[in-house]
Amino acid sequence: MKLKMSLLASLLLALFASCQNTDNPYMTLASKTLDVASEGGEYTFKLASNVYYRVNNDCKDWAEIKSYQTVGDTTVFTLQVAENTVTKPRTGTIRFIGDDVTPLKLYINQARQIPKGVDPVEVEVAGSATESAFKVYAPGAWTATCADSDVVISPASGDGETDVKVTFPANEAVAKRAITIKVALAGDKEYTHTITQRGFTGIFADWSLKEITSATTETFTDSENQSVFPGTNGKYVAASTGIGKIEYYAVSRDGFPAGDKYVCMRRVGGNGDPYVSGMAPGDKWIVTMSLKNGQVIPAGTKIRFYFVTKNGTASPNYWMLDYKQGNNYLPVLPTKKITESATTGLDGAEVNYSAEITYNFAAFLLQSTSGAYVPVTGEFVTTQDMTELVFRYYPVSRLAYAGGAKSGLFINQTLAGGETRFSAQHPNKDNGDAVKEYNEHVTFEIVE
Amino acid sequence: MKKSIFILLLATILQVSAAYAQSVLKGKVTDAQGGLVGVTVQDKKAKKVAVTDVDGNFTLNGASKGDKIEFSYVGYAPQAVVWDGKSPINIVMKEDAVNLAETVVIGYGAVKKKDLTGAVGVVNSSLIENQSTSQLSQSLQGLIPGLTVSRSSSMPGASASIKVRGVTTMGDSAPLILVDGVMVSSLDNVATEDVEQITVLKDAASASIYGARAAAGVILVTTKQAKEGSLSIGYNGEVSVLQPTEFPDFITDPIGYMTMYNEFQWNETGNAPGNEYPTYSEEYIKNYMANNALDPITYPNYDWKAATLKNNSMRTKHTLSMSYGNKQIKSYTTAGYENADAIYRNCSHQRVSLRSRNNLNINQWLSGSLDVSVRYATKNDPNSGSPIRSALMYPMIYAGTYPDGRVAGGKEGSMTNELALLLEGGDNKTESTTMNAKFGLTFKPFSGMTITGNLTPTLTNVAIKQHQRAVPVYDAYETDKIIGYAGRVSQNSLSEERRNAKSLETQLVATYDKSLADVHNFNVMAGYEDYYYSYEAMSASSNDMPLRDFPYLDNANKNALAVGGNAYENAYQSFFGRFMYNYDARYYLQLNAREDGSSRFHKNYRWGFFPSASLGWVVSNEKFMEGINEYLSFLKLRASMGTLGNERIGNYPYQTMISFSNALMYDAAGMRPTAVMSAAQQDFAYNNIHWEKTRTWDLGVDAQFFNNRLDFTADYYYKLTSDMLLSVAIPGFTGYSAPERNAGTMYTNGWEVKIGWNDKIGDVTYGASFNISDYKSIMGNIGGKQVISGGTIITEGEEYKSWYGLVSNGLYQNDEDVNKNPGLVTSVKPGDIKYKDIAGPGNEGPDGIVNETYDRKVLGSSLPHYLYGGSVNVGWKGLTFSMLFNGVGKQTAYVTESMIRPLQGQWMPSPALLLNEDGTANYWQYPRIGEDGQPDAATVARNLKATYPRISYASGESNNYKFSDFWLRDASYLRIKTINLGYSLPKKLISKAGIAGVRVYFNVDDPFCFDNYLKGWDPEAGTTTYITRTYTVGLDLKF
Repeated sequence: MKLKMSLLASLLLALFASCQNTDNPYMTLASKTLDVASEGGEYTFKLASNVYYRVNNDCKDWAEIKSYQTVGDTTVFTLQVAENTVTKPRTGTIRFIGDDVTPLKLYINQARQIPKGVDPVEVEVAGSATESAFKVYAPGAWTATCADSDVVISPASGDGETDVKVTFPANEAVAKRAITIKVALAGDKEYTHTITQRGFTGIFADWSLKEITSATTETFTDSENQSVFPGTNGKYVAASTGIGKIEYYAVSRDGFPAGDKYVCMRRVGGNGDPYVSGMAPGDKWIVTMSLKNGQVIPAGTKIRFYFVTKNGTASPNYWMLDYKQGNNYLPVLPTKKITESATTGLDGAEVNYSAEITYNFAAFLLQSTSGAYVPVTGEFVTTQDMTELVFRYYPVSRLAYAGGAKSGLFINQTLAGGETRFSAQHPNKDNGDAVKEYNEHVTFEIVE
Repeated sequence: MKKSIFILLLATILQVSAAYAQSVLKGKVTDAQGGLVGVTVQDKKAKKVAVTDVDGNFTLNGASKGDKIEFSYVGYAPQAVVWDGKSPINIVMKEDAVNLAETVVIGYGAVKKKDLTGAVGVVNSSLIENQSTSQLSQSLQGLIPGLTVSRSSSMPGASASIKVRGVTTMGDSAPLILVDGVMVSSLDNVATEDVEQITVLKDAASASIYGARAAAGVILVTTKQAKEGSLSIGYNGEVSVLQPTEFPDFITDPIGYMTMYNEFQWNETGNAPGNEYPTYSEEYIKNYMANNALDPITYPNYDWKAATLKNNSMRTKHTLSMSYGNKQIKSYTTAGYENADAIYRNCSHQRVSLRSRNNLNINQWLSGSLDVSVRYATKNDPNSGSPIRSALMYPMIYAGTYPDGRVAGGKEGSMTNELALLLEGGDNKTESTTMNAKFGLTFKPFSGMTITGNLTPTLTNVAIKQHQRAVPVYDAYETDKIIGYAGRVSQNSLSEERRNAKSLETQLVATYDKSLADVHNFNVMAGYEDYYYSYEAMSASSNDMPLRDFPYLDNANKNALAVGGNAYENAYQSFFGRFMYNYDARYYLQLNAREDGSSRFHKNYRWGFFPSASLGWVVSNEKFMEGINEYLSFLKLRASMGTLGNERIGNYPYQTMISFSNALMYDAAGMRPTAVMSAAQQDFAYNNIHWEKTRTWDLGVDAQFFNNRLDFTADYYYKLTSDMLLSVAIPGFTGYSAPERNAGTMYTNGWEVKIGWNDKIGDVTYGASFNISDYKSIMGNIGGKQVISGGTIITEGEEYKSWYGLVSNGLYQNDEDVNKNPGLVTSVKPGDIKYKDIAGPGNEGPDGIVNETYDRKVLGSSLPHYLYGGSVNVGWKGLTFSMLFNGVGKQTAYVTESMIRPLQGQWMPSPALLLNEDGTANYWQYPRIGEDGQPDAATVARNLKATYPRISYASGESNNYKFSDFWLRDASYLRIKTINLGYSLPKKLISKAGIAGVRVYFNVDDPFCFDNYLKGWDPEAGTTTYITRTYTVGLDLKF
């Protein structure tokens, strides 16, 4: 049977007619899919039919039926496919609807533009992560290598587009780790895939004061007033987790008489609080910490500190918190200035004191007699690499605690009320009520 | 040759010996087709009788010149000639619908028509055979005055409802039907070709012999039996082509449908200017057909009607009969097969029937009879039900099938696709087998005395299989991808039911017939009868049948099986008697009485007595009428009265029933609800429930004029039905449904007239008849109760089931009209139906509010009135022409929502009736606002003439389709029921081939109908059925 066909429709829709044989109507496609390369071009497909049928091109924007030729009951269509310029494949359909036969759908599957190299070029993963993946786009063979011996690439070589898995150990260092994978494409240049593995984060020094009461009592308690100044009297509080110690450094008491029996005596409270009675201006709490294995704390590390303190009535309000950076000490909190003055000393003598002081922590008692537990916390970012973190906490004011029994008196002698401490007790409530829980820690944490 | 010898012998035996020898009269009796066998030839003076043989020849010994020789034959007008002494004589008998000598079967006996004193309608086989209806019930339409035959379909197996003299009760008004004395549930149990005569006992005098079952009238069917002297084999074959008479049009075409759908949505959303295309954009509609030409999958234009319905259907019928009769044996057997299909697939009806009547005269005292009939019928229907509506109404923008024939999704979203269900959704099959037999022994101990005992068992089995198959809908292109299921039914189901019924009737009847001095004629009958009927049914079903094409419950998920069953039985016992007397064939008296006891009633109220009496005066036999007998051949006045009963008021109406059900109860541990068989009394019953009684009075006249050529019969009757069952209210806290008591009364009066003319001019015979009847049933006291249902009301003082609804007052034309006239609801808008405010609380006239409580009224009769029918026949030699017609002179029909409402279900199309012939709207349209800010003047003008309300779902629900006279239409009609043209080949042409008769005929049934009803709607058809115009070619062969 000779088929008679005519093109009736526009470029968008084509309609063909042929003879009809209702006894055994048929319409078949040689294949229901037509795979087309990304660059497009001319393609042909065949449709055999003995019925009147219509052609509906649903992908006319990029695949156009250019011509057709019928021999017998078979029509060969020529399809002009445009280039696929994007990296995603696309699918279109051409539908054939014939009388008395099952309608057919031809799927035009056009490949995408295949990129060369790796995707993504770089990726950042958590320090705890142990694997990552990237894709190699290669027209042919490729090989991936990494200088780090603890990095495994799978597969390390291949042909064409390949998903690659990279495994590596968790990063226990504070510093980021860069894993560089070189991918060499045959006949092409070398591409680099970089995995940035972030460093360790978390608490690296912790004093669980209540739990280490007995140890603190043993290493920190002075049996009697310190007699050799300046110095720590060899006393310290070792960290319960991590590497670190807390020391109280007392300056010389020369010209600084004792007001009572306390000159400088380190003591430990029943709940594990290390504290000092008989402080003097210039004394400092010094916290020294280091990472295990001598690891460096890199510049840019953000560190959060936290502890609870309480001051005695002969202690000042204003304190400074700083850390050692090279040969300098840098405040860990923003500083402020205040001018203070006094006319009477703790000993009752007339004084003429006035000075501008710089501080970054102010501890105020809400209860005039017994003092209050207040939190001390903040974050700072290191600016240099260092193997040891030295953190200091010390008074910068010379006036006794405002609102206390010796409020505003010039500190010119040591007293039992010249007291400072790290405490396990929970901070007081905002209204000043005590919270008698004893689970507070002194912590230093690497945040990022 | 043997036949001739046999007939001759028979004739000889019948001769009564003469005291002295006279001449021998020979002759031949013929009709238009040739010799007539079995014609009785009688010389009363000489007391000689002969019977014609198969060629119509007879020999009568002992006749004398000058004797009056009478010829009689059932179905033919009797003839009498005075013998001039010459022999042979040739007599041509004329077929006569009015045959006074004709024997009419009445209850437990038969009388000559001239001796009837009750109101009896008779139809002989010829009027039925000239039609090609397959169901006997439908073929009676228009033939007998007072017989209301209502049909709504002529699809395969469709029956018709029959009422005798209208409504008798609020309950079952179907008449009692007996076939050769055996009660049957439907006239359609009898093949039309088996019928010899049908007698309708209409008044109490004739029907009360059946007592408690006869209140709604009695239809007696007498089937054919062998005639003495017959020996023949007959074949009748028919092929019919059936075409629906008419179908309504709906606006299903894509453009029309989408346009009206937009209007519908526009109306629903408030007619905002600029939103005239809320669903289908103007461009979409404009381009639709062009798009369809290229992509019929996405843009269907699917012809549901063509895909679903054929233009016509076929029916074939074959009947084989064998007859043999002599003085000792009469045997007549017919076997029939009929196959009919519908205009859509999977709908058919097949019937195989066998009926055999056999009589054996042992000697002059004893004879026996054995009648057997078997009927097997199969009715197939698609499980989808009738697809007529979907074929006519589904919008063409939805496709029913893909081009390759696979089912498509139909209406988007719901996957409504009746065609898919029709094609693949399974079918329902009902097979029924009815077998009955009648064993009889008749003993005649002495002259005039006859004692007959009959034993009549009947067995009926019905098997019903309903198989529903889930119909997966596949993607148009991906042939293995299911996208849903037609009608969203995704499971196959099967339901099987078996019904078995059996009955046994025992009967003993004694009749004594005696004439004294030739003027005192007695007939006394007494009888006893008992009847037992039992029914049992069982069913099993599953809605989880994993295999789609295995319709057996073996396939069912055993955890999804349901079973059921029920049974009932009833019985009655009766004593009855009749006394008939006439003096000199002038004065007639008939008394009937029957005492019935029924199991349906409590033993204290079980028995009922039903007497009747009738009188007849044959005025024409009086001497003072002798002078005018030439003009008034026969005149009889009749009067009757009697009481009939109706026991068909349920099987156990006086007993409370315990109903079983699976109730949810907590298990023994009290932890989980579980289904447990439980039983409870749900009804309250009065044990003194008894018969409904109907008392009937009848006055009638039978007359024949001009040598019996003009026949006239008229009756007036009055019926009073009392003690009708009514449900009575009892306090709700009893937990029982309303019980029934004998409380209602109904009065019916009516009249019937039948007139006919039959004559012969040369070789041309012709005749015509016409009958008309009417009745009116008025409700009496029904305890202040009103039954309002389907737009009708049953209330005291009004005709039974009168139309009852609101009174319309045109359409609201504008907002001012709406504001001035109260609406049924406040949301009415211009274009909705306006109703009249008739009354308010306290019945003090209009109250300014229209509501259904106070503003409905009786709107007239819902029942047909002035039912008429008639026939015309002409014969010339072997050529016959006949035409039957029937009609209803007055009937008001309700145009249902399914016929006229647009956008049914909010998606079906509008009836084409909503458009004028020029395509403009014949309904109220919201006028578009022009650029001048004024409503479109043409639309406003057209709205004033609009017949139908605006297209609105909301107003349709709340206002427009409330029952009112707006939707009542004249449904009277005149239908040409049958045109029959037949030709019998001359016997001389065929006798050499050994063929006794060949007749070919062509019938057209229901060719024309003249009515004022809605265009496209046959006044008789239902909304999911059709009436057919049937063309039949038939062949009768006799050997």
